[in-house]
Amino acid sequence: MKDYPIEIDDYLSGNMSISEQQAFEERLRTDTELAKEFKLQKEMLAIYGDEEWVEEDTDILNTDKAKQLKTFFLGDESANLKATIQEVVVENHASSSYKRYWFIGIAASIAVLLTVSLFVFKDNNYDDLYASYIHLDEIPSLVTRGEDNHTLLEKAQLLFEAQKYNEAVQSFSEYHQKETSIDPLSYIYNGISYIELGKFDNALKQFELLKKSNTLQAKKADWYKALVFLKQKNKVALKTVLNTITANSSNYKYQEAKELLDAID
Amino acid sequence: MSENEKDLLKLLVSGDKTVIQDLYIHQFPKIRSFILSNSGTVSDAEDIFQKALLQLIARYKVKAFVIEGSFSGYFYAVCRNLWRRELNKQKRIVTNDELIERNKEAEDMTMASLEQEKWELFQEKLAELSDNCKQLLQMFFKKIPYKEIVEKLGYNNDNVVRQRIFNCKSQLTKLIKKDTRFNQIKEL
Repeated sequence: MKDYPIEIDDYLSGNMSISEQQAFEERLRTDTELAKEFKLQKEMLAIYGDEEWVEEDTDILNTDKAKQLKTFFLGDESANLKATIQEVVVENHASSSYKRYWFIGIAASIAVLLTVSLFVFKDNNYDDLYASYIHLDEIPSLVTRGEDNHTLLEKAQLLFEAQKYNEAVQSFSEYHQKETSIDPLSYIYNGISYIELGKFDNALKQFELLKKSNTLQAKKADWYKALVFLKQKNKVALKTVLNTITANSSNYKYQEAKELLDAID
Repeated sequence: MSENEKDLLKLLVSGDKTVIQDLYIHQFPKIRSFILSNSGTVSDAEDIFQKALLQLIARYKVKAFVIEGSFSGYFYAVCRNLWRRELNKQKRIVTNDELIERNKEAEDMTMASLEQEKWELFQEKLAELSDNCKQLLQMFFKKIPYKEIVEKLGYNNDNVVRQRIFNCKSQLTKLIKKDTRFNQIKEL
């Protein structure tokens, strides 16, 4: 019944002393058979535990199956299919967002009533608004638990958290200069540091870089630009960006942008 | 899977627009709400919907297959996995080179397809085990402590559970390794 070495389980579940761990890791380096078994057990933990998605090594692109799949994805048939699916998505998107706008219209007018009454009692101050919209806790951490992290980034994030923005900006700049590939979240942290230092042009530059990063974080750039203008009390620019965000209900922070537009008018 | 659903896959592969429209109406809302509640946007959901359909078609073209169980559940799992994969990639560092974009995209879709096939293989093999093994392993993979498993399932002690889990996991490992698909995906 024994189909893999039980030590693997002991290692993975942390049931080994330090010296046993070291000995096991040494064996992993030299014993390719054990290393293979180890990899499979780790994958099982990840897949069945519904943890992180298990990505394959790009070596598998050389298999016959991979070549066939890739040929299909590059071919005309795939391009045509893509166009057809796109058509369906766009047609439905147009009709469903129309309905959604109607609903949001009602929700928004209620929100307007709420915010108006809120601001009658509260000084309609841009700094207050900035403070209530910045939500630092929403920005994912640059440092991932249990992974090899970039030390410079880690340092920069710690400085940021300690509100030492001058030093944080220096660390982020150093990171941006030294690295060829960049964690897009670092632009957000650096941009906010610049806002705190009152260097608004530099802050905008960071969010421009974020926008061009071609990552999933890029869609957040407009919202952060809006926050720069808010802090800068630049009403005209702020309205322009907010109008861009509210043009499409699927934009990042659509609802907040709508509220903010109402609040500043 | 019903006869209708069997035809569904075939019709989909032919690229019939009405089938795609139908799938959009019935499947997209679930996918959208999953992605919206997992830090995505509507356009992310549309992107995943498209990628999932293309993946299914490509895989079917390369080697025809039958979906066990409901199409709906199957399609949802494909979309969910594609989104988890996307979130994974997001954590990683990104470079920007649009020139080789098309080739890169095809390679990425290929990787996603093969990874999905492996995921399916693993799920199938788990389903082949005895009910008792399935139950034990599901608890084990959810990281439920042995002590709790002992109490819940009425075993004598930790050691019995530990041994039983090892046996079940051995069976599962054996089933996975024996499958030719595993060796195909594994390496060259």
